[in-house]
Amino acid sequence: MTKQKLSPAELICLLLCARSFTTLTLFPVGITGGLTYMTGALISTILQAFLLIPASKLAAQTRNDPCTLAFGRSKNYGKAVTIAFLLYFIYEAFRDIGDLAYFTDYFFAVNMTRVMTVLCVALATVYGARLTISVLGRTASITFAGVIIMLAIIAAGAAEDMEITRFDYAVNNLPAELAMAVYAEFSRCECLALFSFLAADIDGDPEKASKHYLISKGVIIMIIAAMVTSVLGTFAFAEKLPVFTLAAASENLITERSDAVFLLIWVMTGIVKLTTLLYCSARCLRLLRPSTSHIGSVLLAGSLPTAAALPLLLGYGWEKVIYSPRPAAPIIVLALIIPAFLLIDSPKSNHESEV
Amino acid sequence: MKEVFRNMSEPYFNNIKSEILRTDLKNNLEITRSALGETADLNIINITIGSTDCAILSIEGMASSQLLAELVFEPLTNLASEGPSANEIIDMLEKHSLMSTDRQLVTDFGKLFELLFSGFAAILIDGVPRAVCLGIQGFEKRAVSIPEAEQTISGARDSFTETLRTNMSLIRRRLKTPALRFELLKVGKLSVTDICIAHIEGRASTETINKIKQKLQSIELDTVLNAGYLMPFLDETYNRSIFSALTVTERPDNACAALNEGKILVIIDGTPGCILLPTVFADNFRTMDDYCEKPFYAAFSRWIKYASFLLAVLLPGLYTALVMFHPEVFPLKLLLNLAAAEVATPYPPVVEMLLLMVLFEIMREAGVRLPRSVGGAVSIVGGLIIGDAAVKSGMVSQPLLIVVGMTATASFVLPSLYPAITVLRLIFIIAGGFGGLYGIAIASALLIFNISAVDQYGTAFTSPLLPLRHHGLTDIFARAGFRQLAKRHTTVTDNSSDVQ
Repeated sequence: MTKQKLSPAELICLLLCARSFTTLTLFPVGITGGLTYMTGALISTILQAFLLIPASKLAAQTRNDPCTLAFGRSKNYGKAVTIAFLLYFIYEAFRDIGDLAYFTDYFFAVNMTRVMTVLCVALATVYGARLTISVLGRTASITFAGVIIMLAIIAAGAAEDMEITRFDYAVNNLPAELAMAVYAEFSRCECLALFSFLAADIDGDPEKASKHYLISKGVIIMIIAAMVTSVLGTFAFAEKLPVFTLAAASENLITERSDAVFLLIWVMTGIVKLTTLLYCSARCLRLLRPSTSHIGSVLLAGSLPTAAALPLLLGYGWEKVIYSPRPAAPIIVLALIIPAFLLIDSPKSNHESEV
Repeated sequence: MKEVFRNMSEPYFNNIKSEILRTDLKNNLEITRSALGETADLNIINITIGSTDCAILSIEGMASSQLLAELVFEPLTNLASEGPSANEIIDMLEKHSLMSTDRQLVTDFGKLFELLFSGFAAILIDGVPRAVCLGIQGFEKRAVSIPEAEQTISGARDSFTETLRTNMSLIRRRLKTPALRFELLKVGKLSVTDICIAHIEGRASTETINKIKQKLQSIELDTVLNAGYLMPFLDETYNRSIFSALTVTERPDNACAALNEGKILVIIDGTPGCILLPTVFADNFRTMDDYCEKPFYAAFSRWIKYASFLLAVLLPGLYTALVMFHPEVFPLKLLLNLAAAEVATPYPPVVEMLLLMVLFEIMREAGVRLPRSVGGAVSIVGGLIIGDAAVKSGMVSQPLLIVVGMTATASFVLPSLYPAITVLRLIFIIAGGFGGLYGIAIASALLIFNISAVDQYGTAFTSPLLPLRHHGLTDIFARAGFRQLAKRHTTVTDNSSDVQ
């Protein structure tokens, strides 16, 4: 397989799959209304447009990922940046793999134990992560087309139950609620760290790609939030797998409910996200230990989150992880601070200052 | 002399290939006999022309007796009356004779044997260390006939045959452009099979052509008897993907259309199946009939093929998963019918489905290898009698039999994808039977990874959809109009080379 670059559209689909999986799994806890959440998501997306400027500029200028660039400055600096990325990717993979196993076991009567569920998904993602990034991009494009079709099927089936009044306009403390929604949306955007890491792998303009991604992400989040909250109202924020609940109520001419379609696409988006995280983790591992083989790094990247998630899943303690707050600080560090620092410190900038 | 060729058990004749012809005729004949081990099909006819001894060598069955008499014996007999010297004979044969359209001068034994085994007659003259070989091939060959595996309603009725030169002419007849190039190679240490690489200069990538030539020349096989022998060497993802990015075609019109798109055709002597490469996934859904119908119907037919692929791969697995783990998705009436049918059977749906699918494959395999008259009987026995008896005895449920029937029919829509469909179907049944839709989702993700991972000679298997090429896309989901096709579209070469 030749090493190929991603097209901007493929990167956007990859990130959208990752982002959609988080939203399809759980809406942020503590938000009281659909309108508040949608407004918060919109504001957050606008803020993210500013946040991604350094990462996209850095990718456009250097055509290298932040870890490699940091290694170019100094070995220790490179190690620190790579470890930071690696830990975040492993943490996200841990959450992703656990969510997949937990919710599959919780909602779908499948004749598999949690261990088997985790092992199956881990093996599938290890298989995917040993391929090239362009293969992941193509897979993500097909999967994202599936997300659109699934949303269309669910929306068509639940159209009769949708009511705009369920967006819940009444808010006690609007600034506080909005701030909470903005923060919640921001902390769920782990795809920003992925963008920072993968932006240099595209064969187009990373700045344009970041703009298109954020617009598409904003639209897709708004559509999902609008669909779910217009039917479930504020219950959407209390439900696990809110889109599943909506799909269960969505009837069409062929099937009684659409939750099967949801399960199919939800698992696939989860696999795409997890595969991307493992691929990025494996790349970080190879940067830290260049002697590691490709398959060895992928296996190690896959086994770490699996091993971490299994005890919690088997001990029925995963609920704590689900409702634990998602930290926004790593996203700011990985998607803003590190690229910004590398950009300021880039040879081009040094050269300009000398002149 | 014999010492040189003592070790004739060496099957590749490497020790004789570079040996040059001697001046003495007897010596040459002795070496030939010794090297070929007095093989029964070697014909040596000694003749004296004037005072010069000559010998005419041919292989029985490979050279035409009539042509041998008309083009070789008769002119040589006439020449004998003039009493020429050895130099005059060779001069006449080399410069003044029009005995055959294909004439080659040979100075070594390797080339002499190669031409003899290709149906040439060789004239050896005493005192001349050269042989004149005349192409008078007359071996039995099958006439051009209707394609068996790629039937069309309105397309051409001729198909490739086992003869390389005939196949080349079938292509040339349709593409009378000087840009059409044929390059001949020999592959196979024992079979020394002629392989021809055909392409249109300026359309096909030069890099790809060179790569293919390199791959073919490096093949270390003893024999090349059909296209399958070359596929592992030409297919860059042969062991990595369930799909093949090469197409084997027996239709010259298909081959010409592909050459026009910048693809490369590999014709193999001795087999009617020619290899087209690189192929994209969407090529499996296109037929020549699409270009004989109006675009709206061709587009409809193409969508039917896409739906058939999905049905053939997914339907049994989905049915098993839904019936076993997610019955709530079925409308109530259907659910009750399914439940009633499944309750009466002793095995779980996954076992029933696997049993029926394996049984179906056995019957198909039996039908394929048998004569047509008996093949029909196998279908009747399998389809009607066993199917009906299986339902009546309560071994399998009726809805399941309907699903298997639908799947089997759908899988016959795409013959080129049949091997992949068969394996994938079983994987999806197992995935659905043990993991429900979760298993199906994982299997689907793996399938998409597998399709996306096929990348042949710089062309993605998912092209022109991924990466997106707008100009090729029009002929994927619909059938492009001929005005648009006239602007030239391609699925395999770069955009830059698309410009007229």
